[in-house]
Amino acid sequence: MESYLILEPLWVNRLLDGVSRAARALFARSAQPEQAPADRTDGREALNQRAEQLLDRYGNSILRLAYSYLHNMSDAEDILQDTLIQFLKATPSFENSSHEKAWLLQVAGNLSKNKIRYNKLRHSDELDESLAEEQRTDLSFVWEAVKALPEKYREVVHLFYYEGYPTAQIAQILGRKESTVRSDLRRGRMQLQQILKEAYDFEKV
Amino acid sequence: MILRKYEELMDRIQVTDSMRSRILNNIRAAGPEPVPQRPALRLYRRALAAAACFALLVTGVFFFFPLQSPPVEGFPSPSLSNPVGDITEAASAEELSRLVGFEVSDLEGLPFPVEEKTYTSHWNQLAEIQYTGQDQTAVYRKAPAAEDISGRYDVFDSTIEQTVRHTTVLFKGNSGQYNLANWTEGDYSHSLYLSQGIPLEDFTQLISQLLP
Repeated sequence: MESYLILEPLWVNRLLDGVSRAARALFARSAQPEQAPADRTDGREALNQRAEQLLDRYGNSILRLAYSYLHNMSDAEDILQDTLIQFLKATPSFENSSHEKAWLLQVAGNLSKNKIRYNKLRHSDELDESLAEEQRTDLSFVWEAVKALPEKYREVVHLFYYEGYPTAQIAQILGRKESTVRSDLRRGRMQLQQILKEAYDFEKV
Repeated sequence: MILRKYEELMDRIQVTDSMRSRILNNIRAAGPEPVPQRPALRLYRRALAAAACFALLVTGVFFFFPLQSPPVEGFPSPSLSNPVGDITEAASAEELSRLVGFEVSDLEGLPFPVEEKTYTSHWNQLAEIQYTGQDQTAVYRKAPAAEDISGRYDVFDSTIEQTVRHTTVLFKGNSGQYNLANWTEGDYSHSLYLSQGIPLEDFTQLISQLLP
């Protein structure tokens, strides 16, 4: 295509150039109307309000998912903040609030995994510390067992058992096949059982 | 029983008032600028078609009096200055290269027409370019040498190692269609993920174009 254009006479190139400019100018005008300073302030305020709504509505879920990956509050807080910023930046539209939440959890999960790969994580585990202070050995035992699960099982277990998502939706959130999610869930459960070496029944809870 | 305990554990993790204030203040201080909704490609096509018709009508005017207004060079993605400096969007491969401190180039020869490109720096250490087409995407990543930088956690049925232009490339896929390629070349690791798998032969061909 490029070589074809090069061989065209000069006037054709100029014509095409004019068409392109007109299209760009038309598009730029229609898609990006100039914002007056007041509009910009209003826009910023709207974003701030949206951030507040999202934080109040989904903050705990995002923070918990991030904590389940990172095991410390500061990193989990960073992920919560970054997830909200990603949302405000992308301004995605959704059919309903459950899609909105799923989108946020997907982003939070990806950001957490990236952080594990590319950042040195802080080593404090506030949950572990508070359980030790309260001498809740039963909960410490469970927390240690969950932490010992491979990441791919832990995230599925969290989304299925804590957030209550069906496997089909977990597959969407994590970008995996549903059959894979089911198998990860089964293996995660088996591994938890093995780690804890005690009888339990997930299905009855 | 275990689940109840897990629930009890997770319920302890909550957004505190001080955390809430910190996050909202950070977002207020350095969050994204309000940006207009990213225009749909369809709108662009419509505008292009309209402009083409218009231009044909006034060819003579365009020919002798080119538009005086400066051309709009593409439609830059809204850049984001992240308060914690973790993730930054760039407008081009050159800008992305500056952010991460090593050269990152656009991919050629992807198996679908690319409609949108998104350049992202993760922690100034990992460069990512996402190519979006009509119904599929490709994600290319480059970072200082590491095991697997793809960020993909899918379980693939098939994993195969092939030497492409003297470089060992690990391909992963399902049912004869391959989605992911990981390789390390010199001091850098690369990954390319295709949302729609392609035959190994085609993927090998694609990767060979990326290697020196």
